[in-house]
Amino acid sequence: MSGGKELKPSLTRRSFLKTTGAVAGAAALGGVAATQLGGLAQADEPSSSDEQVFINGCMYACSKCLGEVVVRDGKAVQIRTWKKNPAGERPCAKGRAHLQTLYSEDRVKYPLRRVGERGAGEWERITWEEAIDLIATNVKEITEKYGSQAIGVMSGGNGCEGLVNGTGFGSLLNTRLINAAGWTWISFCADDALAYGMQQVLGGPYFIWAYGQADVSTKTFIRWSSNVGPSIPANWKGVVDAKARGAKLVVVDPTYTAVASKADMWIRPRPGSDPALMLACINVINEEGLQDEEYLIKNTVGPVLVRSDNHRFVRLSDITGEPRDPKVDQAEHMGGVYAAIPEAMPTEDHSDDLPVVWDAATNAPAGLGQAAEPVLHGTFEVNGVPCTTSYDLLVESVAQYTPEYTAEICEIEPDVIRELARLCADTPVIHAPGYGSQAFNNGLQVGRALATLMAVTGDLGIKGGGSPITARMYFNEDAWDNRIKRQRPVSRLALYEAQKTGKMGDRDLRLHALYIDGSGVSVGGGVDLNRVKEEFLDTLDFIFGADIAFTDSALQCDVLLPACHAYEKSDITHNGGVMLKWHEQVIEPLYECKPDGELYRLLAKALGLDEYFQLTNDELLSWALDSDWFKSAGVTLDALKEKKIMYLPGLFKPSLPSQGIYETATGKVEFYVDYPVPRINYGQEYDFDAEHLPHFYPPSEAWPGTPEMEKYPFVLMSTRVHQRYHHACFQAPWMLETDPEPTVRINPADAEKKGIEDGVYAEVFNDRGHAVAKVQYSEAVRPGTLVYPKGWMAAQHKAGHWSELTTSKFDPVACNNSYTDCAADIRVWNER
Amino acid sequence: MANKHFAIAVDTTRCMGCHTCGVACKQENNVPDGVWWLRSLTDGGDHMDSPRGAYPQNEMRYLTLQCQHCENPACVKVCPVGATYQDPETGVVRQDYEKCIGCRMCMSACPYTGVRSFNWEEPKSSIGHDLGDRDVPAHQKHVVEKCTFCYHRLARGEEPACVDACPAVARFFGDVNDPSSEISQVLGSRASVQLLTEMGTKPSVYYLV
Repeated sequence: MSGGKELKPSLTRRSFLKTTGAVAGAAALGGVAATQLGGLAQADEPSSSDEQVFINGCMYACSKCLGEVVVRDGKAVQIRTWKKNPAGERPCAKGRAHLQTLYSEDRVKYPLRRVGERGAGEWERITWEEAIDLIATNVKEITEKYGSQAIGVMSGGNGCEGLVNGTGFGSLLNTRLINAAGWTWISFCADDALAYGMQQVLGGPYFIWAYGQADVSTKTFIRWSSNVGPSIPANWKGVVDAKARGAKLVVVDPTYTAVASKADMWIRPRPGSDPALMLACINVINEEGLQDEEYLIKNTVGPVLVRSDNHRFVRLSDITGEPRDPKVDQAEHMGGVYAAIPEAMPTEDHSDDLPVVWDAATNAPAGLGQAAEPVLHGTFEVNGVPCTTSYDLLVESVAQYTPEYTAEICEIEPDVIRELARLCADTPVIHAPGYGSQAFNNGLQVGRALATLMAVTGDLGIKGGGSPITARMYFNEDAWDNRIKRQRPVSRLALYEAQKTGKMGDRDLRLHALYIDGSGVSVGGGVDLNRVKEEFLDTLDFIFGADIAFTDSALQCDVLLPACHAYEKSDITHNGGVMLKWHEQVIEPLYECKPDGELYRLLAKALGLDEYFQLTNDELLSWALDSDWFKSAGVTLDALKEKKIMYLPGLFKPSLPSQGIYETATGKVEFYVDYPVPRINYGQEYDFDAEHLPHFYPPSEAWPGTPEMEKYPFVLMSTRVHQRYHHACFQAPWMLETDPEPTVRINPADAEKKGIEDGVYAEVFNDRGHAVAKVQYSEAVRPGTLVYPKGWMAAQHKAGHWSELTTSKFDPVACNNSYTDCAADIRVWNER
Repeated sequence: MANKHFAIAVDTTRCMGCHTCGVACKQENNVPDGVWWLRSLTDGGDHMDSPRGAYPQNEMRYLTLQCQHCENPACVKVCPVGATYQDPETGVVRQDYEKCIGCRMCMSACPYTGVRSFNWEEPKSSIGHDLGDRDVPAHQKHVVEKCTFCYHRLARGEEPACVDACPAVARFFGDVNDPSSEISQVLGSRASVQLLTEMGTKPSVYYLV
């Protein structure tokens, strides 16, 4: 029964004291009657009169796990596993620590007006009436002077993704308010490079592509820079379950993460070189004849001919002489925005001027979908212009990425590259990307190359294969704002240009106010923090916002409103396209906090926009659920309130990709993009010709030989940890007990070379700023890199902030925060 | 009817050291600030979440550590007042706060350093009200406390809070005297190790490897 083998001798009595971070407390705990239990006598059933149970949980973007929240004497006392949770969710430590956020003494409790400098945290308490009045007065003034677009909104509280009481990008009420008021919606530009790169190739609404679902047939799981466990804890179980079934686990990450410790194969690319690795895989696959030609012909633009003169698709109009359809030469068909904001989809803008393939049956060109035998290879003459198949052009473009050549770029052995390529080709494979490698300035190509790799291996739309990020959720989009002109967001990263010149590209724009709608990424969670303050926040006449705690963002507000905690409101959330959830309100809002939905309504009223807010929350939610898709699954608001979770995976079998349907302009997988456009197009310059195919270029800064790396030799990368979801739980005592303060992880060999001892305070710095943190030696860290657990507020550092160090340089097509494209150095901090 | 012998098995091939079990325990048992009855320890480098071996020859896993509810408990032997005792019906090693005089001999005797804690001050909670299950005994100043295997839940036929909290589904609990229990099946079919077996304490916690 018990194994006789002792664990390695490193575990001693002394070892067991490690890693507690425990601190002795001191002060009275409220008395409670002691209960003695004798033997196994059945305890009396707890009286139900003063104990209630509600189903609620997190609203974070990871998994929104629901548990049972127990209330006794009007107070929430526990969140525990809901044994009957249909999805088997078990709230993680962060989710359980959420209880401490609810009852934190440091919550934002009352409406506040700033009295000191922005960021100083000096406030005067005001009433809700005064606060709304102040906001409305300022907003009206600014609107009169500069127009409504002068008020910008940064939504995106990923800690609050409810449909009516949420601040998530694309929630019902904030969308309605922003569009009705004509304010400028600011895309916060995080994690967008991966998402957009995938969307360009695979189509569909944003963050929703070619849904993949692992099953017992999945042979290999490849996690591309995905630190699952500390991030998205609920997904960890799937990883170990698959291993237990005998599936192979491959982890691609420069750092030895928890999931790397479970990997059958750990591949360690030079940070920022992942796209080259993927292109090399495509190269090897083609060299070895492992590509899925049948899939490529049927489901992708592989057979489509590309003109050698202008690198555009050959179109029917080229052959028939009919006028060229203007839809094929315009930038209108683009998504690139989060979640449920309805956008015009590429397939709605479909052109009849079909791309052309070569038909072997007739030995002549034909429209896509109209050829009996479309060919995947070859160069053919059309109107005297040599035209080559897209697939041949792809193969040609990756030809240079031989394993030997790529080994230099990626610092990976050629044979390892070959092995990886062959694993990719042996489908079904689940490719699970995280957000690490896409946070370099070449991150768009991570999405492009990965989607292309899956196309080449025919891994899309097959049982057990694909990329399981999320899937479509078919709400009734009219519920968002069917009478109001919908806005496209502007890029946060391009606002510096607007604030200086009054123009963003070819558009007039100059913000004078900012509404921080629960968004942590707007200040502390963004990039280049000092620049954010100097060149953005300081240019604004008025900043208002709502938050639960005094985050870096909240501290920048002139008027700050107290928002409800997740347990103080009810709402619908959705997760992964397969689950609808109902969160039951647990307790009445504490202090003077209000649910976000009520806040939007108050603002709307004060601004004379009441007419758009006549429907109640329940009416709006019912409207959102009123779609054929939901009806076919028996989803109604009442049913959802009763069941709490409606788990709907059945609606995805068969998925659109499994039927060969892709929501792109051509209806096929577009690894060759005919008319590439930026994710957010404001007339910026970009290399149109280069963007047709996935390609590799090094990161802007974090790469050997750049001027920045010459000065600052470490690549500085963030990591998720078990104690914080982004910055949520940053003050929760239970989380602080195991992760008490900002730290920086360094490889011991690097540290010793620099004379930095384990456990000292160090300053990590570059030209943009600095952050002071406690040094932790870690052999998980690749030499030449520094890794920092993210999510700390400025007040928790001895000096500085991690976000001071990151760059605001961005790729014009992805419009994304390049968090990890960061060169830094480190030295001992001798000040207090 | 034979007595039960409750035990826990932790699957180290699944555990990710996320502290959920420890936090769930703190909530369930209203454990005071700064005290942990169950901790996630990194079996690797010196710091939490760091591996052993020089990069990239790394190795790491996690072990959760709580009172081992030993069959031959060192703590019971040294308690001068019988505050610490082994429940004959379940094998659970229990702590009677009323009898405990705070001498802390049990903490010295126990080789599993840190699973027992002593409340030097009035036990404090950051939240300002009691948490957890209503049947949990109140914490007291100047007594030793530790994992109870959630005895109050066992009394209701439930398993400890740490078990159904684990997001990795890495924890098993049950009666190892019952060959048909899930834990008996798991221990019968998987290799496992225990901590400090040379001390002769015969712990009731197993680590599947």
